[in-house]
Order: sequence, then structure tokens, then C-alpha cells
Amino acid sequence: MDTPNAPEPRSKRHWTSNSALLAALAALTLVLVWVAQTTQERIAANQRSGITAGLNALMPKGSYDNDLLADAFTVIAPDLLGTDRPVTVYPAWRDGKPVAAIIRPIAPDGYRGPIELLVAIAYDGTLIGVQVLQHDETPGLGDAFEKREAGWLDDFTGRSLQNPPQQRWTVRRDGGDFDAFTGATITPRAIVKAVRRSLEFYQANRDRIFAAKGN
Amino acid sequence: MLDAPDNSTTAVPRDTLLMLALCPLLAVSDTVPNAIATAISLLLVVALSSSMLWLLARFIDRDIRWAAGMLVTALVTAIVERSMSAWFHEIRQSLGVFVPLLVCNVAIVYRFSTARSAGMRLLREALALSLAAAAALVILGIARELVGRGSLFHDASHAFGAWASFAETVVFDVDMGFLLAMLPPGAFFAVGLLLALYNAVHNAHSQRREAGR
Repeated sequence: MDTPNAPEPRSKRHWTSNSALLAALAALTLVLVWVAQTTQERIAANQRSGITAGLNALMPKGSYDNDLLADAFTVIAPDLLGTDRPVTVYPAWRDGKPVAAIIRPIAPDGYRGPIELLVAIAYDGTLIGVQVLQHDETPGLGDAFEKREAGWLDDFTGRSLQNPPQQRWTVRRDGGDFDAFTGATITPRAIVKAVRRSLEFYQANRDRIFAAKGN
Repeated sequence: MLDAPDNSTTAVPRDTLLMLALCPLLAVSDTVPNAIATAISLLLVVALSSSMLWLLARFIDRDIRWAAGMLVTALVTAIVERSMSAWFHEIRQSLGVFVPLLVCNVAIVYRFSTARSAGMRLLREALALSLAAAAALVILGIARELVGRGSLFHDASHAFGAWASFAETVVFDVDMGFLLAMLPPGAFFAVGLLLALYNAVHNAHSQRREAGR
């Protein structure tokens, strides 16, 4: 008809059907926005309850007497705590004396992205325990610490910056003392690194952490 | 290219491509609650998005069928994902990245559908396929969990709420089951075995039918 490469004339029906489709998709997007707004509160509450559950798992009821959430404050330490956003620290007191500090750092080099941790450190620098709050690791492989190897996180209890010495604060594969789990090395390596860095942060900032007595 | 749905467009047969599209879901079928949750999410996404596409069928030209399908599926998946994070956040954490990835799985199903337009035929085909996939996932979940950790419905109360704890059974007590069954490669082995079983039954059945003629 015309030159071989000329575009076909668009019929009116073509325009109306495409406009109708765009309108329908826009409407659907509005539904999504509405759902996102409505669920925002609940999702935030779920995350908070996850933190509370983690704190309770790490610090048994009688070991402290302050309100952990109320006394919490934030610090920014991108090198040691894994993010340049504020990281929450929960100091724990009993009878007016500092007992422990729980830090909520990030392990930035997980296999699929950052892993959010809760690291509980006793006043003298020994690890009380580690919990994983949020992660995106591969189900079945990187998330072994949740189901398959549920005892793996217990290995951290009692450790400190001297135990093991600094060179051995990594996974066995890199010459360290910590086991990895079958099928995943990057995830345990990232968690071990983040825990050690949290210990270093605590050591450097202990006085600062317990300076403000939040009563 | 976008609207020729038969085998001639691809070097790999269509059925194989559809199976590959559903493969990522295998990673999350290691326990029964995970498998059930994935199956339900898949069915939900397919049902909602194919219904939407059916409603909009008369506005979708052949040229833009794939783009429209992807957009609708992405929107529906986002809605499902947010709802899961709000009301079922434990299982949402358990399934990890595979909830958003449902977009890919389902979009491929639409891409390789034999329906000529986004209408009723597409809806029926997508639903049938996802029902089959859901059933396969649940069977896989049962098999893998039994072999891998000797239990059924492990952590069901986590996933579905406290009422589901009645379902948590330990069939046999093993310290560390057949680990391979719990790992993603084990899922592929299991699928292979399932397919072999299906073929065996199917062939025996058609042989018997032929012999009976």
C-alpha cells in the first residue's frame, strides 16, 4: 500500500481499547496502594512483635528489670553495625547495675541481601546469644539456622572477642572455629562476621552505652 | 512471535518450559506447611490474575497480551504478598523471596498458553495448570518432609496459627533424616521420581487399554 515501512494507521477502536486497558490497570494499581496502606500498620506491628520475641528469647525474664524498648536508643556505626541507618541498642539493667546490652545490627553480606540480627552481650563482653530477625536467604539452604540446624545459633553463647581469638572468628572453611551448614557458606560467614563486629562495637562503646541511665 | 503459541516457536517443548516455570517453587516445598502455603499463594495469584485478564480480554490486543499479563500478575502478586506479610507473616518469612517470584512463574504460564486471547480459555488453562502444580507441591511436601525429617506438618502452628498444632505429628524419630530430601536438589530428584511413576502408571494403563481392544 504505502511505503513498506510506514506504520499502519491506528483505528479509533485501537485507541479506546488501549485507553480502557490503561484505565483498568490504573484502577488495579490504586487497589494495590490501598492494600499497602491498610496493611502497613499490621506489618509494622508484626515486625515489632518479632523484635520483642527475639529479646525475650535472648534475655530470660528475671535477668533484667528495666523496660528494654523504652530505654533503647539508636547509634550509627556503618563500619561495625552493617548499615548507615540508625541501629537500635537495648541496654539492660538490674538493681541499677548494667547487666547486658542487646544490639540489632545488620549483616550486610548475606547471600541474598542483608540479614537483621539481635546480638545480646553480657556486661563483661561475653555473648549471651544471637537471634536472626529478618532475612531473605534461600529457603532450604541459607535458612538452615531456622529449622534444619536450629542449634547453630547456640554455638555463639559464651563466646567473646578472645574466645576464639580474632583470626579464628570465622567459618571453618576460612580457617576459623564456626561451622557452616550444608549447602550454605556465605550465610553463616556473614552472620559470624556481623556478630564479631558487634562485639567490637560493644567493646569500644561500652561506657557510652550505659552512660545514660534511662529510668 | 508473541501470539504463536505452538511448539514451533520454541526449540524446547512447551510442556518442558511450563514445568521449568514452576521449578523455583520446589525450593519451598520442604515441609508440608510451606508446600501448602505456596500452593495456596500460587492458586490465589493465578485465580485473581487470570480472572482480571478475562474481564479485560476485550481490551487486550494480541501484541500486548504478554505485557498486560505481566502487569496484572505483578499487581496481584504484590497485593497477595502484602496481605501475607500482614496476616501470615511467619509463613511469609519462611517462603522468603519466592512469594514475589510468583510473578515470573505465572507470567510464563500465560506466555505459553494455547489460548488465542486473554479470555475464558486462558483462565481455564491457567487454573487447571496451577491446580495440578498445587497438588504436585503438596505431594512433594509430604514426601520430602517424611523422608527428610520424619514428621508431618512441622511447625504448622507457626504457619497457620496455634489451632494447627494438632496436626504436628512425628511419624518416626530421626535425629537427622535423609538430608538430601530437605535440600532443593532433593526436590528435583523427587519430581523426577514422581514423573517416572506417572509415566509408568500411564503407560501400563494405555497398554492395558490397547490390549483390551
